[in-house]
Amino acid sequence: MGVDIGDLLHKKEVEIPNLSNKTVAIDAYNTLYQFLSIIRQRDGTPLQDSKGRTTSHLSGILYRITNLVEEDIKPVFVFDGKPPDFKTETLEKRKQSRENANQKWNEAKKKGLTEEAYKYAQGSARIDDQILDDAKYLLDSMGIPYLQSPSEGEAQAAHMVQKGDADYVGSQDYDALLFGAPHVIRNLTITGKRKIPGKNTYIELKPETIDMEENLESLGVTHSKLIDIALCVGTDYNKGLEKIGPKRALKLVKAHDDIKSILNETGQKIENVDKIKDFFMNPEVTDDYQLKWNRPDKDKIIQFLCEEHDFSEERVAKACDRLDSKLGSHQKTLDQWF
Amino acid sequence: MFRATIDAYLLRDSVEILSVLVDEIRLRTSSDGISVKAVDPANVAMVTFNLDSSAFDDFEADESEIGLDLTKISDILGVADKNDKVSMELNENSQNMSINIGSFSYTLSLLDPSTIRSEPKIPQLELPAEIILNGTDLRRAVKAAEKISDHMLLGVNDDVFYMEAEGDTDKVRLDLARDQLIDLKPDDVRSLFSLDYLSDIVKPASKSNEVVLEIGQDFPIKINFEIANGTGKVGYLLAPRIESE
Repeated sequence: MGVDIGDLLHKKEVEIPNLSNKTVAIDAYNTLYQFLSIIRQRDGTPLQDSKGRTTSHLSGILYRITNLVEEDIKPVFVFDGKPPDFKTETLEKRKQSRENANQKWNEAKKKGLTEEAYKYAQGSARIDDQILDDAKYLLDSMGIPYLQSPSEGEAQAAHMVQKGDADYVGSQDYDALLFGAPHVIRNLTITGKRKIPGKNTYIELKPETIDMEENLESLGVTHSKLIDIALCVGTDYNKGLEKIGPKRALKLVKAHDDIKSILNETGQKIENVDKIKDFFMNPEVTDDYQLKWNRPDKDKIIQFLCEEHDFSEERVAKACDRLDSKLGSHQKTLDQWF
Repeated sequence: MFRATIDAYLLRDSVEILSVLVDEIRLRTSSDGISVKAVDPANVAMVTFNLDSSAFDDFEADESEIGLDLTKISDILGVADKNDKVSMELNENSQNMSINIGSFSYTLSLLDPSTIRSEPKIPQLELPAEIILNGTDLRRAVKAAEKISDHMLLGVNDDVFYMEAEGDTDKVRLDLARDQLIDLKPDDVRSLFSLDYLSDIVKPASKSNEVVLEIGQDFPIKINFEIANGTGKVGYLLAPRIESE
């Protein structure tokens, strides 16, 4: 998922304490996928309650987001709205590959191949309406603001950073940069020891930031040309050109005036290229949102997570208290009277 | 253009009124006088400040916006005696202001107004209770409260305006009946406020003989008073705290 231009970009590792008081517009779908694919048991089974409902995302939201809040980071979740019509094909393909992975996972589990099973299980993670509703309900109970974008979440998050309402877009993908995000932060919700897929080794993941202006300067391209590079290697809305990786794409883009002349020279086609480019340059976004962090509702959280989804009450209560010590300020702000 | 001469103490009071909430201001000038609207970084309190041209010995200005660092002005005013006059003149080309106090002459560099937080919108609030009292009474009650708590309740009950603070172990309460107040429009209301803010706000207000408080039920409080013999108007708005169960 997302555009594969990471190799071209310069990333700076950042220590969590340096992010205190920063507002991060978190790409909700991206983060929920992370939670659903990472928070799993050894054989790949996601966390489940006694009725067999997946709870990996709820665990991720409660514990990992509480960790961020405790570090004085202010998260706001940005959910996807209606995808542009030229994304249909990508979405269809993703669905197929998930179903495929699901089948292989079941086979691997039957054969007792734990490693394989885990890999396929991760690929089978899917987000349905129930998961979205549960996530929003939990965020709301925790006092964490969320909003619904008119179109792509990353575009909305990028807009909020441009406006100065947020400091970073939080996402693992680089797409927010294509939508013009001045600052992106990765690994924020998945910091710590992480197993390398397919290997029995662990690496330490630290958050890293990507500064758009700095990167454009060092690559010697404009925002518009960065999008052209992405179009060459493939985005969520188009397949990349044959045999063109990020490095070759950069060379091509620098040597040509625009994407059209690259297509002419290579004799290849990108469907909807004008529409896609325009979508990255001018995505549909909204200014109709309020960023307000509220006091967590401990009773509601416990009722939802412990009574409905069989979480340990002791652990949930502890997380609530940690959250409350940061968000439980009794002081109101004037914004609510405007 | 902006050129004005004013009593040093009045300028100092004005700076104090604003620096309770912010370090940098966008000063609006017009032929009528100067004005500032500012909100503190945490969005808890805001101030509106107007000083009429008649408060100045000399005043000439057109519509403009000037970015000022209040800390610097307050430092400059440190050399002024109570009866000194301060004259200011904007040098529009070089983006600075000449300030003369007695034989001192300063050149103060200005801030780009666009780098200062923009002026807040002013919420329209209907606050049912209105109390007019002496600024000194208000200050005394706040000072007493500070000793035992970090927050204070302000309310009206049966023609009595009360201020009450409760700490972990101790409690203090001041009741002011109608005859101890300058005026009272009663309503059964109360709201809780942080003393961090309240004591800073009440300090400049205490110099005024008439402070107007408007209170609602768990609503922001308006604290209005006049300076410079009525040629200046100050209005604070402070958001309440939530009363814990």
